[in-house]
Amino acid sequence: MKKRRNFIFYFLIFLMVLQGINVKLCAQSLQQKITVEMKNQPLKYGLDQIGKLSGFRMNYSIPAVSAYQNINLSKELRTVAATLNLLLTNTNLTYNVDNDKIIIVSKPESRSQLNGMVASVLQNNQAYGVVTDLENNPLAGVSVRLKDTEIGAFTDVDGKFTFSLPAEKTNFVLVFTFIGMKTQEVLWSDKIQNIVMEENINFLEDVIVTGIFKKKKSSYTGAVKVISDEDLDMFRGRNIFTTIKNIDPSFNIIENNNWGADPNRLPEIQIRGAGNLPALNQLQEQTSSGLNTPLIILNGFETTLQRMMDLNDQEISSISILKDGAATSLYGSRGANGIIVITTKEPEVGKLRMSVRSEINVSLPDLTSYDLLNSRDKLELERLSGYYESTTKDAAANILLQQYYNKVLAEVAKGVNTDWLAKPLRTGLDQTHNLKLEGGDRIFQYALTAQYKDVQGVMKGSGRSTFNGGIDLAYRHKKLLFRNYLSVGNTTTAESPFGSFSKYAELNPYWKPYDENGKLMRFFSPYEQNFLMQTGDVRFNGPYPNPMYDATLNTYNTTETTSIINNFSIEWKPLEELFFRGSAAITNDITNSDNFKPAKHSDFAGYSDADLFRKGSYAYSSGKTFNYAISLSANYSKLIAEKHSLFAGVNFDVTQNKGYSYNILAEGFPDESIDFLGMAFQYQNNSGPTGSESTIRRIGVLGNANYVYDNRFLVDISYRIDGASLYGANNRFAPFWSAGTGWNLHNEPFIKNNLKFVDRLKVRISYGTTGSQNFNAYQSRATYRYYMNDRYNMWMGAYQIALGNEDLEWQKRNKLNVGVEVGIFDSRFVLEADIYKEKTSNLLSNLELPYSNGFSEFTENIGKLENSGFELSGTYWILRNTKRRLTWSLSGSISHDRDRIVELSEALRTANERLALQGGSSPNRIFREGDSQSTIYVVQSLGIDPSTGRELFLTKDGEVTYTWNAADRVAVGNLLPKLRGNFSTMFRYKDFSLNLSFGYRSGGQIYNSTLRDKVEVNNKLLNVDARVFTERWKQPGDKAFFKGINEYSMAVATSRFVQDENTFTCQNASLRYDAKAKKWLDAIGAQYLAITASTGELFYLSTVKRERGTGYPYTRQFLLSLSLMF
Amino acid sequence: MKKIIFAITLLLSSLLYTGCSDWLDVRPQSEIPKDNLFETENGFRSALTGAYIRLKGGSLYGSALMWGDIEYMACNWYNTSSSNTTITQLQNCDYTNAGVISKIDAIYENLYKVIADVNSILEVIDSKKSVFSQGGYEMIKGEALTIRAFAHFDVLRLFGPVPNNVGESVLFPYVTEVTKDIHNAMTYQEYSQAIINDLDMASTLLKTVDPIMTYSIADLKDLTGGDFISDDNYIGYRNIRMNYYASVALKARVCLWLSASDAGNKVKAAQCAQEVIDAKDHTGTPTFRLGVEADRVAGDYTFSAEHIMTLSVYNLNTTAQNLFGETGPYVRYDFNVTDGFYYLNNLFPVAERVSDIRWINMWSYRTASGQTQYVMYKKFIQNVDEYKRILQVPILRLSEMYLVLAECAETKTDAETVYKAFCDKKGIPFTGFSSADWVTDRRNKILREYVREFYAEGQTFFTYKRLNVTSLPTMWTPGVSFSGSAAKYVAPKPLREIEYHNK
Repeated sequence: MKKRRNFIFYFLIFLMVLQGINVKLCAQSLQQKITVEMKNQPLKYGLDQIGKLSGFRMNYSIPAVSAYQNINLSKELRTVAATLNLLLTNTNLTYNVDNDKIIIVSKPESRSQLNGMVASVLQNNQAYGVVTDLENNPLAGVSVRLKDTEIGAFTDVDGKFTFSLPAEKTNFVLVFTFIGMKTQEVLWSDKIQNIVMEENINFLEDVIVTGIFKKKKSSYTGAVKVISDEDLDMFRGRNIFTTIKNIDPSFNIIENNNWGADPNRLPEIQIRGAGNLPALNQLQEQTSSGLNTPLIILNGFETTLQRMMDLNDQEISSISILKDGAATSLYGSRGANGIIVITTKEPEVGKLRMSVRSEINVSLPDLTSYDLLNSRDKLELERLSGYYESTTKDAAANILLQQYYNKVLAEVAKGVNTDWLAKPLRTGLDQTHNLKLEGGDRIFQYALTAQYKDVQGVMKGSGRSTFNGGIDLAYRHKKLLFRNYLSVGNTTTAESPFGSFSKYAELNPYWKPYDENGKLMRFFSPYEQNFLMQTGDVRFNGPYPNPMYDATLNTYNTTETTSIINNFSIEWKPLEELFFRGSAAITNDITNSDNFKPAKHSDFAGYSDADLFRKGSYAYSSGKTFNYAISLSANYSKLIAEKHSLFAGVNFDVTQNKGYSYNILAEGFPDESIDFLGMAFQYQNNSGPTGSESTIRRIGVLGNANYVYDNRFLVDISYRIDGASLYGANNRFAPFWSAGTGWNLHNEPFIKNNLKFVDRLKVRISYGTTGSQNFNAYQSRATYRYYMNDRYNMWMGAYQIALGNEDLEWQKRNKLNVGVEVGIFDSRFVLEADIYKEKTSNLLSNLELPYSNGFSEFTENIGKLENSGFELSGTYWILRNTKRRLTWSLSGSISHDRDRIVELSEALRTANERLALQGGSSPNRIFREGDSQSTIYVVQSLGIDPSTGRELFLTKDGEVTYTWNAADRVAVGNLLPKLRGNFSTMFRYKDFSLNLSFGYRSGGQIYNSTLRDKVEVNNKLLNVDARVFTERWKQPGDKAFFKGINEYSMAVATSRFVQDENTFTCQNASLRYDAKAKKWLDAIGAQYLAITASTGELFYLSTVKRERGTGYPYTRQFLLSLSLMF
Repeated sequence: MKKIIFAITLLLSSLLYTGCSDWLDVRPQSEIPKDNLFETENGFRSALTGAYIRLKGGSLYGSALMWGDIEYMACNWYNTSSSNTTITQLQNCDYTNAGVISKIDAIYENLYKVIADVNSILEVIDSKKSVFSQGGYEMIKGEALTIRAFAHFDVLRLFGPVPNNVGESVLFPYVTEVTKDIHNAMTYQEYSQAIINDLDMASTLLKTVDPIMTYSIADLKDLTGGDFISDDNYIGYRNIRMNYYASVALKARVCLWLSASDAGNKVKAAQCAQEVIDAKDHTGTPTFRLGVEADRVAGDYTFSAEHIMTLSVYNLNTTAQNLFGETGPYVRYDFNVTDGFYYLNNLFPVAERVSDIRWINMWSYRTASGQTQYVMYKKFIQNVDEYKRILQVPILRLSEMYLVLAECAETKTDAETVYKAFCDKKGIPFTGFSSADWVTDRRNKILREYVREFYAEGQTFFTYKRLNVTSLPTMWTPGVSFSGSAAKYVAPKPLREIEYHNK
């Protein structure tokens, strides 16, 4: 390669010497019009004619032109250039113009076709060159720009570019950018530029986007995981959250077995574990959702989990997950739970380009975890349970039951064995279609995007469909860049009218949904009240309703959200080192939800005649949020004396989040066709309209400085002051800071010289303080509310809601992180490890006050938590041959997190001890100092007594007893797995890539509620797990895991149901084909094509056998997508 | 130069800081910050109304301290459900029972909540005098002070010592501030003095502005016609608020209580009682009068003409039907002997009750099958005619003033004069106090009057406690027998209070 360049260079020098030094471009003369006519004449004749008519001197070698003899040219007025072009078509010749000479030369080979051009532009301060890919195919549409200016051009179809360079400068750096290729910076020298662009593999790794400042990874001291758009594509999961989880295990989705793969359920997300405690009222309700949700930043501004789920994922350029103190303290009071920074793609400079992407996803319900009885066994189980013959009943009753048994038996004999699980389910067919138009010149760039995403849930009638549209405009004027990004999204969700999946999982298989005439039955038959009533369960107060009937009614539960985001920014770069940015964002969300159930709905089956008018309900809610944010930042970076690299940035931001919602519950809809809220008979019993309102204002000033010495030592410090309306008047402002340092050992001579195989060895340590704001907007305030349902005579009264706390302040989390980054053997093996410890203090908690204070409690900053853990991730390239484009890599990651409650407030402690004395069938959450939040407290079980079939318990004092006592509960497990992680392998050959990714969880425990609800169930009138039939104790001497089949003691929280959980899942398998710059692509006018086939959640292996997805089943997904760029 | 830059930076940042602070001070839409509420007179009125609403709530005078828990403790009601052991233990005043404790704690908690309600007003009212219209400041502050004294006095009556043996130990805090800081408990003397101080201050303030000093109750209810005309109805309806006479009558009640340990208070009690009895409007008509037979006939069973202070309960009609009607919980157990009642005959002797307006037509057996052994009480049952209803529960009545006066009278004659006036109006035969030990006889007669007069008004238990009654005349109480002792009379302070005050 080098040789060839040299050759071309010398050839050019030769030409120049030949033609004289003073070269000037004479385009005008080439534009003069002449008429040359040729009829089967030699080329030489034509060239001579041109010389004669135009006055140019024609230079050519006779042997070169004599090869072309029979040329025809029609008699027409043409420019000199056009005549020449016509004459030279289909020859291997071309021409150069040199002052008054036209030189006919051989065409360069495709690799060196520059020659002609070079001759014409050299010495005229022109940049020029050819851009190709690794296989020598010219790349068209590559943007070539002079660094930090708007000067530049695009390559043409032959991959060529030329443009003028400013005269006043030297040392030009050209920047080559092309979609899907690594951006290159090349120092322009007057040599011929033949640029080979490489495909972009993880091109983002080098830059960390914090949402406020962009940082080079090599100079950064924080712990951040950067996910590229390509990663998102290759690790595709059910939604963006599962995708991220597939990539980074420290991003944890708290599994909710009830909601399974419900497309409308927002998951609970934690980064590096839970660092908050629920408030007293949440503790009583046993909820804590949303407390640990990380902060989500979209293009520099805060957004919601909901919006993130509905985002046009094709528009995501990168996602950074900020974890440690150095990274998260940039966000001060909001950074404690970690931060997800999403950046969308900027419009690319170039000719109008259209990208299309379509995706089809097939979801199949995964019911492998269900093991229910068939109709014959179920009936037999009922018989064994004594439901059809009882010594305590009189003969007449027993006869009735026997008759009923015979009826059911007849059904079974007829072969009735309904697969109820299949009834509410379907194969979900999801579609996503994306269209993007983009392009523009150096001054003005634009991108228009549209996306339609329709997700069908596997429960019939459930789904989520989203439309996203976006307009992204950028305008450059001198050193200013204006950008406006407008995004409009509309999401409609629908819940299945079939109701909860669990209702179907418990239906008896000997019942059938349709009668003999094929009509849907409202109640199941045969029916015998004496049979259903014998367990005294109120659900069986009458014939058992068919839940499928509700789905035939006009009933719906839908939510529509419209979201508009507009971000505007101005960037100014007055100097190479100095950069200013100002941006403003507005977000407007409007949500409406409608939930209608007509009078015939099974919900109202139990209403008495007096409540006739109350049958049928409509829940309507409407809400709006309007947020604005303004952010101003300036940063300065400079390299001093080649060794000292300095970065300093300041940022100022102001935010207001304002929102309200109204809820109306109306009832009395006698007819299903009248589903108009205005036609309701009344508000729901004893209720009226309700609503909520909140306004939160925030202000923050941030300073950040980064110093790198000789690319070896790094120091990074930041300081932020945050003010928020949430906090007490006396503590409106709080400071946050972080400091981090790193050492690039690979740049040290002793490594460089002695351990040559090490190309990257960086150690870093950071410490930072952050806060979290997960509480009510007005919690700190002493506020009054009017009595809404009471009055005194004719006067309205007001009461003080809470005492208020003017000293209320931020929950603080201090984070310590130590990390190491290793790359050896030319980055064949890379490893990144982090170990962290986080301490949360000032936890918001309720403090009990004596009654004489007039308020029984008071919100105060009390409570301490501690989290610690480690993360490890590495990649090994088994094969890496860029030339042959053959790579094979293996990646793996492990994460571990443990939390410990250090201190609880008095009130929380008492509330917990009260909870600890309340019994129940499931272990309620109890917080104890010294233990983890997710500890499982149950009574120690000694198993089933073989002689009686009853369970034996161990009391706290070590005594053996049959009696279960809530006070005997001890910690027997932890819901948190000890280790959680992923591993994946990626194989690429040429345009094909194959990716397999697996996830695992190990070392945690689970309270298996299936065993309680479906195996040890007392009431066996409905269907149960097959293990009831096979594994329960039946007679003395049986060594069984489950208590006696006719043992009716209450279900209790016992250690027997706490099982070790180890799981292994195939998260994703995908095969992709990419095509760029192919001839056949040109034929269809396309530049790029990609086809991906992938599967999600192909299998799930677990040591715990339980029903997964009780309220909504889990799914397996099969996806096919096609991307095209024109 | 550097100094100038420094000065400018300092100036700018301080401007920014204060600007930001204001901007960060968000005003909620559905709630009113405390500071904003007390920017207007209307805000003060709303806060005060809030205190009255809490007073009429179920834990206080809407039930527990009116006809509910406190009447069970006096054994005035029968427990119709033997499985409801909490009620049985409440009748026994068994303060070790968790159910009883939670009821008692709720009373304590809510009394202090009312105190916090008015303290929020009292803390700022002096600095906000300018927001009030003429007389508004005095009226609201006077009422708030009276409520504060009233609630504290009820804490003392229920949780304090038997008044003839008060001791020196600290009892409870007299709270005058709304804060998270723990309040210090006071001794009986300090505490009772604080009550008197608040009442004195209240009367002083109210005396100058309260229209009840000039106008009749009827005038104050009809603001568009009659003698008193105003477009501001908050100034009217004085008898459903802590008016001037309420503060005086309350002082009479308090002084009578205090006289058990310090006899000197009897004079003050008598003075106050006399002042209320003598109250006249500008036409010379007494502001309050004792109820008469005609009132009863008209369905005014609580004798609203006697109400010095009464709580307005707009939904009393339904509440009373639910509580005292055919299916309500509040009944007496009895059986039909020749004179109609076995137990009630002891409280209302057959010979005396012929024209007793507190007897006639007030008690009746239930008619539903299986319920006929229960006797219902009609006091709060309202007239079928919506416009004739008296939707009020009395807190302070004129008859109490007569009884205070009789009890505080120095001489037998004085006592008998007052008692006779009382008997005449109530329709019972007057018999003079026994000459052998007229003081004891007066005590016994007045004790019985308290029970008969204030049945289901929450005063019986406190009267027993004040007079340290150890046993009652035979069969007053229905199906359960009452016996008094300090252990029963002194309800324990909530455990939560003890925990905090011991720290």
